[in-house]
Amino acid sequence: MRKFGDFVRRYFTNPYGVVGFAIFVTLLCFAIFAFYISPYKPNALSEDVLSPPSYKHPFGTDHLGRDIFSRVVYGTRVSLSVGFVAAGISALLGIFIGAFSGYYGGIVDEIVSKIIDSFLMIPIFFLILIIVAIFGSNLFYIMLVIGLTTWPSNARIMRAQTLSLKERGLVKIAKSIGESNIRILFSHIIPNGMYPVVANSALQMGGAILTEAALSFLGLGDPNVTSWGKMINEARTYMSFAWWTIVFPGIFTILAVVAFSFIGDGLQHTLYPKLSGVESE
Amino acid sequence: MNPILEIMNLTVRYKIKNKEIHAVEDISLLVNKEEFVGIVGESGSGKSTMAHAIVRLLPPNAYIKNGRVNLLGYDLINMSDEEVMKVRWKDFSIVFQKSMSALSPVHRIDDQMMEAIKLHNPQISQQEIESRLDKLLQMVNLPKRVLKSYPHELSGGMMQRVMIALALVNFPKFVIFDEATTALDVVTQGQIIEEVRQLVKELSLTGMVITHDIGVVNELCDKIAVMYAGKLVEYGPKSDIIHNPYHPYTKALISSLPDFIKERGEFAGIPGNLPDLSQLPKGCIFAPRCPLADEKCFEQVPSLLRNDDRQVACFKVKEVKT
Repeated sequence: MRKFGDFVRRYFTNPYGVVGFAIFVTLLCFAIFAFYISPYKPNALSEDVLSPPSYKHPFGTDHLGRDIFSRVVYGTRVSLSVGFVAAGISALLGIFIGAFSGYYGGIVDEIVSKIIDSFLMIPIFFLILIIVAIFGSNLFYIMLVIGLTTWPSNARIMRAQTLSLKERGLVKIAKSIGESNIRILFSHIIPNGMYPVVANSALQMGGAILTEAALSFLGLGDPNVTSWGKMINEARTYMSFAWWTIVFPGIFTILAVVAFSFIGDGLQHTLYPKLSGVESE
Repeated sequence: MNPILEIMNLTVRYKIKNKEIHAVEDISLLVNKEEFVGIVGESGSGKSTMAHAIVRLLPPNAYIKNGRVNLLGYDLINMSDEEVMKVRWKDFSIVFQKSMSALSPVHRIDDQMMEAIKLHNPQISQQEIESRLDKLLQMVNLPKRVLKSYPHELSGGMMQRVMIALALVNFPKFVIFDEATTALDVVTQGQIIEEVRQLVKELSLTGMVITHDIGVVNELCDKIAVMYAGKLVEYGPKSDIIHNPYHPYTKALISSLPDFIKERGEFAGIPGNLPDLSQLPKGCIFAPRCPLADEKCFEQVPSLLRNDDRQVACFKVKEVKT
């Protein structure tokens, strides 16, 4: 447990980490307690169409008289779950594929590296766009597609980590003790090498949120959920005279992305140089 | 007496970009029961390669050209990897150099040691494991709390002791200490050598100590094997070799030790460097650096001469003695 305490202390010495974490916790509260925080139901229509921010509607209302604050709060749920699920899928795939490829080497590694390279070459957003346009825009599909198209960067990091770890003494010891390859992979390589992937995943969460918002903005988002991107899309027509319809969801999108990239930054500062460099003591 | 370890004509080479590095050339060695042999030589002389070849832990670009290794009755060179995995760490083990990077930073010490016990004794109970770990820690003079620590919480000396305990975890009969004390300060080094000596007596271990420090060998070993550029140049009982070396390289190695009794003087180094091991010279491999070398030394390879319990590969034995 001491190690965890150390980790927390080090993380909170980084100002970016603190700010990112604070924004993230606020958004998380919004997502969890959306029902209590929002004054109205997200889809409840009212008479006040396009009314500016007031005491009654803190962020104003949209063209159908829906309360923007409530919609933004409910939209947090969508964005955060897209971020977590998509980045989670990406991290899991990246860690396993990268570790296997780096550890076993040879022809498997050649093929996987080529796949990673070709993925990094394709403009991912357009790939996602095509897939969503063809297969429909269920929110779950969107998360899956984002996860399935962003794993190569994690796999590349994990592969590099594996290549360096497998030459280290600890793997040699484990091998000479008689541990099997699979065991070495799961109990030594992955736990020791996954920290940079964790930091990268935090950045990817921000990216996934942005991708989902962009898809929704282009009208390819899930029509059944309230997301920030969709709000921005709907507000396009009215933004010249009702700025609040587009500014608030936009601000929240930016906040979420900034929070995740700050967290990623903080994690990188905390995890990367110190934990992998035990020799420095 | 039955030898525990019998090495015959062991030749190990590295393949690097079409080049063949002659890391270990034609080494034969016998180690008897409860005997400790020190392997000395400068960096790059093939000591570690030989040790790793014995326990079958060579890196993938190295291969065993020919030779036989018989350790505790196992024909190690011809065994399959799976068969070696079953007996390594149970009957014989190795203490690696660089203990700092040899322990996994995300696992506690007890997890790593338990793993080694469980793998070779699948039936063992948790209590037995714990009592064994306690016993091992006592043997290497470590407090019990070390078991619940992570490697970054330990000092260099503690980690080295953990490594020794890890090697002894299944009470093997044969242990190789590969530069086990090299990275430590002299005081800790002295303590650990003392502990190892106790352990050797307690567990009636047989083993091999690989080092470039003749002082360590002097403390721990019964016999000394001197290696130079992959070849065994001299082998014999410790005191004979230290007080009366037959090979000019051994002599130079011993005189290069700093002396605390004499007045502050020059370090007696050995001029020159190790030869390029991808192209072996025609004659004696030490000839280019040897003060006594003559034409014959550059022309012919000296074979290992036997004299009672000593072996030496040199044409100039008589001149070295005087």
